[in-house]
Amino acid sequence: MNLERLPNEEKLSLCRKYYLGGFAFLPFLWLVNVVWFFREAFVKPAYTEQLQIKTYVKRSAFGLLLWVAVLTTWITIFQHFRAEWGEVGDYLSFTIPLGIP
Amino acid sequence: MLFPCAVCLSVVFPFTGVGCNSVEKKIYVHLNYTVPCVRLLNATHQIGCQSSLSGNVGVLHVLESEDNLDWVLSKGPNPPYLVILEAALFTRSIMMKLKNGSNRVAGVAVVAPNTNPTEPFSPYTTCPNENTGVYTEKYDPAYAHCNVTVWNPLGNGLAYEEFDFPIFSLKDDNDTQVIRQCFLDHNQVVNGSAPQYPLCAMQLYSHMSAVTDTATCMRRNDINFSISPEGVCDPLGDSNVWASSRPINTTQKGHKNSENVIIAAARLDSRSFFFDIAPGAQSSVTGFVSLLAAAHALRNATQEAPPNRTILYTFFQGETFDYIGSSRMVYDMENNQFAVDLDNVHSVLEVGQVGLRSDSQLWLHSDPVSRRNSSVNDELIENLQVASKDLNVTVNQPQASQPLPPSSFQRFLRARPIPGIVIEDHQSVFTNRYYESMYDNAEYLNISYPSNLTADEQLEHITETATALTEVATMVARALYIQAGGEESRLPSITAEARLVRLMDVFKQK
Repeated sequence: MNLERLPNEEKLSLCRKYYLGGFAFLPFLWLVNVVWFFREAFVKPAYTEQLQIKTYVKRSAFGLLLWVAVLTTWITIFQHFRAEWGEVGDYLSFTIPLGIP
Repeated sequence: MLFPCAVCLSVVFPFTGVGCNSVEKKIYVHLNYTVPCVRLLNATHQIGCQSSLSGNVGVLHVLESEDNLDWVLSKGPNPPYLVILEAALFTRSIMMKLKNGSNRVAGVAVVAPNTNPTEPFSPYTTCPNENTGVYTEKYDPAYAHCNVTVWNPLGNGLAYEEFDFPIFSLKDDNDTQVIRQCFLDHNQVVNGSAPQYPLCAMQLYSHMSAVTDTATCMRRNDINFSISPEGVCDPLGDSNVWASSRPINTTQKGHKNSENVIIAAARLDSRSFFFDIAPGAQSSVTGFVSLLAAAHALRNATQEAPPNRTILYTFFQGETFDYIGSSRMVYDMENNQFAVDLDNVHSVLEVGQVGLRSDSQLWLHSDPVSRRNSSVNDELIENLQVASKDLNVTVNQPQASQPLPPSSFQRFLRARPIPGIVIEDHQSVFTNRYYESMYDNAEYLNISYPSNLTADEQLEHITETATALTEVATMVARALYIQAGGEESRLPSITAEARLVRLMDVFKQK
């Protein structure tokens, strides 16, 4: 979809949908929001709806960073300690590697 | 263009390239007749060997001596190395050094000789089934952990070490000679300078799925939502075999008021360092074949003049690994899941290793702790002495303070003080130089046929070992008969047949 061809209200509505959608545990929508609307929000010359779009992009970026931090921490801890956790580690796992603890 | 010449040993590749010009065939030579060492788990530890998921590849190195190890462990410029050991070098000190340097060692291949080596070799521990017998701290701390008698002094405990590289056994045939020649041509150090590529290499594949310990592995086996349907480990298990000289009602479990049972026990199993090689000639085959022949010898006497007590012939499987079979039978008896229970057991006579009698002597081992309070075993010993009259067998008792050797009877004693004797051919420590190893085979028992016999004649030929075991079987049969309350006058008619004892050769052929 080419944002050039859309009127500004529809751009705003699209950005808002992606922003709201990301709250349903979908951080990739926020990633898309940030990447897609970055130029619209910060590079293009100002227009009416740009301020709103800017807030949505900033908030999406913040939410995205939060998710990245949480996921990275959890993944590191799990990969490191899964073997030591014994039963809990096994029940949390979807596939368990063979032949190593 | 020169490819690095690689020799591939693979358990999994089923290539049948007939007439095709496969590049793989130009690089790899597949080896047959190879046996891996596998990983085993118990409640707390894992032992055995493991390879990586795609196999371990290493530069070939045929070890000349223990000093040559430093090439593998530190000096060699092309780690990781895959070490080929001749059988004489397969010792604990070399293997432990390789284990400690395992980031430079890709694997080990042991060349299994065609005849037994001259040195004794036992990969088992020095104190078999140390923690699962009757001698625990509670029973008598003086006897726990083989304090008084170390039963297998030649044991080097290799089978109970954990290695994180694969170890295979190779048959000493033409392919192995190709390997040695490849090493001499390409990999050897010439005038102190390191060999240059192309170098011979070898790949060993024996990936093991089981890990950590039994509890973890069985739990992972049972997890339902996992993607892979196949399990990660198999429990060690099999069946015991038992029979009685008089019919016993097996649908009715638990105590039977009228039954008084003599248990005649022997073990069926053995092991070695490598997977599925378990000749166990002296350690188990001599014992159970003698008991089978004794049962056969008693067939008439127990039918025509049945003694008061029933004789229960039991053959236990899994005794190598902490008495799996006998502990299961004792457990079933205690929980009323067996046809009789422990109160019905009058006494136990176990036939252990009986193949290497020196001076035709057999030793009757008993438990010193139960002897302290009363003379429980005297009746059994007297019956054995009566039974051995007129036979080429002399029975003696070992030293009074000596504990029972590792035997299934120990599990019965753990539950209840029962009179019992274990018949062995060694007075104190094992005379078996190859206990639980791949060399404990027919050659060790000197079972050999004159070379001028045809196959059919070989079937009929009775070896000296067979004759000796027949004597033991006759003695056991007679002793069981008297112990069960039979008449002494019938004893001369009870004799074991040598042709039955010959069936042990069937077990040895493997």
